[in-house]
Amino acid sequence: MKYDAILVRFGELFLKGKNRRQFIDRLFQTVRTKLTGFKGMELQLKYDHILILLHGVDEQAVLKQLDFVFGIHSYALGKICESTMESICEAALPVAIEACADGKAIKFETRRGWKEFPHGSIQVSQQVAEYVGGHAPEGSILFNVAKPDLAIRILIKPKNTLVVSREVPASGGLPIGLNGRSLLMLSGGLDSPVAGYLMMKRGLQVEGLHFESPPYTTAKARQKVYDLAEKMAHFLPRGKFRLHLVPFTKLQKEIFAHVPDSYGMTIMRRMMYRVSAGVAERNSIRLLSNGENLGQVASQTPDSMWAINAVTEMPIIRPVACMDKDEITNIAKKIDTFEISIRPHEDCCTVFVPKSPATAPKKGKCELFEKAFDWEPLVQECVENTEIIDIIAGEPIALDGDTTDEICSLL
Amino acid sequence: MYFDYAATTPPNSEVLKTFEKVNREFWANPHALHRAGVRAETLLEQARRQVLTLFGAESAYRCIFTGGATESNNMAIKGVARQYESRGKHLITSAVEHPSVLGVFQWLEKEGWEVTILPVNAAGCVEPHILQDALRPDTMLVSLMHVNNEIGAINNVEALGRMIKTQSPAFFHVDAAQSVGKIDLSLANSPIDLLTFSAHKFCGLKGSGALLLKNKVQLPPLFHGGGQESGYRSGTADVATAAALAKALRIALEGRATAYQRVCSYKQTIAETFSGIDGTELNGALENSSPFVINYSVRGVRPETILHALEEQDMYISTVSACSAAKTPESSVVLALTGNHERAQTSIRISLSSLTAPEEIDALCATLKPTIESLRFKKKVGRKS
Repeated sequence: MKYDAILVRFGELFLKGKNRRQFIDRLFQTVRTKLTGFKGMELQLKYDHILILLHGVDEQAVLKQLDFVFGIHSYALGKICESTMESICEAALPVAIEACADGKAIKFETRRGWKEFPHGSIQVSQQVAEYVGGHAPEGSILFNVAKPDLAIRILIKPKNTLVVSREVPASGGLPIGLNGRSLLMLSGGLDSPVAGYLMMKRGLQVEGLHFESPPYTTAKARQKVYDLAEKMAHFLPRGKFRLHLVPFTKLQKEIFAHVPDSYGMTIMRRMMYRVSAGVAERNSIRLLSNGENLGQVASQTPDSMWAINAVTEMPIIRPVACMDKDEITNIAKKIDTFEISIRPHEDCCTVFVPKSPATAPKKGKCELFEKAFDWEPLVQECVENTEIIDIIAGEPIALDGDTTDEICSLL
Repeated sequence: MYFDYAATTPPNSEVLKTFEKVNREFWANPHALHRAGVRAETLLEQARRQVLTLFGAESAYRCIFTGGATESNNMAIKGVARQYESRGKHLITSAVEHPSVLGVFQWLEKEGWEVTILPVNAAGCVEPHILQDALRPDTMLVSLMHVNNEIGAINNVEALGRMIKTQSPAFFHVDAAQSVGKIDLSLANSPIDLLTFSAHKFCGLKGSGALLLKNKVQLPPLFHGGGQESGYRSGTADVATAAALAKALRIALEGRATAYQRVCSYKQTIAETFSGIDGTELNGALENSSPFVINYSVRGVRPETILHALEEQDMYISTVSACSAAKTPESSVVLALTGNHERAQTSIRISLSSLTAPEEIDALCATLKPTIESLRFKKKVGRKS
């Protein structure tokens, strides 16, 4: 059966008070932007849903795009027909047969938004059920009015009537754009893209911050971050993910020159937070986020977090802090970053790992060791020399693009 | 006119171009860390991915580039036998395998393995029930060829493989040297654990082949050393040869379906010609066999004499496979399926490829009958006197 329409239901936007309208407008715009590629399709914004009239466009392709839009609670797929009893019955028949295909019991539920319709809503449900029961192939329909597995809804409006079944859960969350921005510390590992996804899901415009230490880190590490950014860009309304690339080598070298090995990692992360806060400040971003996960590595123990976090007053959200590795992995697979994250390239956190980093560093000691050198100019240099690159969804950048073309011609 | 494509094929000029260009521009060691090395590595890995993709084997298989089918066969058979020795020491193969398979089994037998050599039916194929009877709980490897190199018989490796998988713990190795690029073969959801092929059979380069193996299969390396090719084959990786193989495979598979149709009609024509020559018998079957290989026994004439007589007219055919030709005048393959020494001693092979032109077939067919009959006439006179 070919579906004619998708009914897009809003997520928790109904919780919003006076600015509800703004959220819905934003969501509608985002949906429209994501679906611009489909020709002939029609979008209608209603009070509590968006109606997509497919006009022959493949619904699966549309749903795939809508999965990148936050703020949608669910979709329902359906058929559209004229608001007459006969058309409704005819439209309901294939929908009911398909709904019952895997042994589900159904019932019909009618909402009569158009009060002039000559039959009452209960009457409509009954008549449609009667028609479907009489016209469907023997045994293909199973009714259960008291406890249906699936309610097929008949939404009667003046112009047309919608018969919808199959409710598909959507990505949830809030539409991006009205909740401000966050700067995501993006290492290239498994956790940070997932953290970024969760931040975006809460409606934040996320930008990425990546520390590079060439020649200790290679172009492959940068390629990895580019590729992750491209995947995340799909979730942003305009499909553009901004990356801030921090040249970290000089500062990192000084750290390991002036600080005892066991505290090197702690101090390095304190510096990273200082730089991150600086970059955020410069770009008027008020919230930092990262993929830290409690107890995962030495820097992610309470003691470490206390010693490290002390350098900034900016709020820092760690969306995956309490998740298990397999929960994170599942999301990474869902958002298609898993295969990229597991590529084995050094990032600046793995370059200078001491043999036994302090798992319970003292804040006082950190401050003491930091006195040995004047860090501020180097931190400022990092902030100022940060390179900005916008990565566009669907347009991955290949750092060795010339080689790629050459290779294709050879094979 | 060349009718010995089962022995080898000429390299495609596009393949040679790739080989030369890679040797000029990507000659760095692919395991070096500098940019030139990384470029070479990228090319090598891309070639590897392309090979796997062309077989529909992207995620379930690995690809090891080797020095050809003989090496792949050695690596696969010796490797599986040794690696899983503790689980069982029984191995199965068939009587009509290529020497690079049979030879390895003979050696393993001397080393203490028990080897069952399956007979084949009159068509040259392994019968499922015979394989079924041979399978044991300690069978660790079954090695069968997809297409026979001398008579073109096709084993239904898909069905045989499924049976092996359901009835024994054995790994399944397939020597596909004569089928890759010619006969349809996909590794998507395949029961094949290891697959051997060689580039020079489909217009690639000699000294180049591959072994595709399922991710779960572990092998001890044949060559120990620097751990290249994931540790399976040490030695500086040959990026140019690998790229040439990937390219040759792509070109061969792109033209495979149309070439197959064309060559089928050639085989038909040649079979009709032979049916008009007295004392000739088809070895194998016309149905369910590779159209690329045609084998007939010609009674009363030494096959070498036919070969040289055709050679006089610039037509190259072969007697037994080139790999065995130097050693024995008798085809062990033909003997295995006919049980007839005379037929085994008088077999000739005509093998075709996508390069074979219809005019060549016409010329060959016009020549075969008079040539064979003229040779026989001389011999008959000789016998009478």
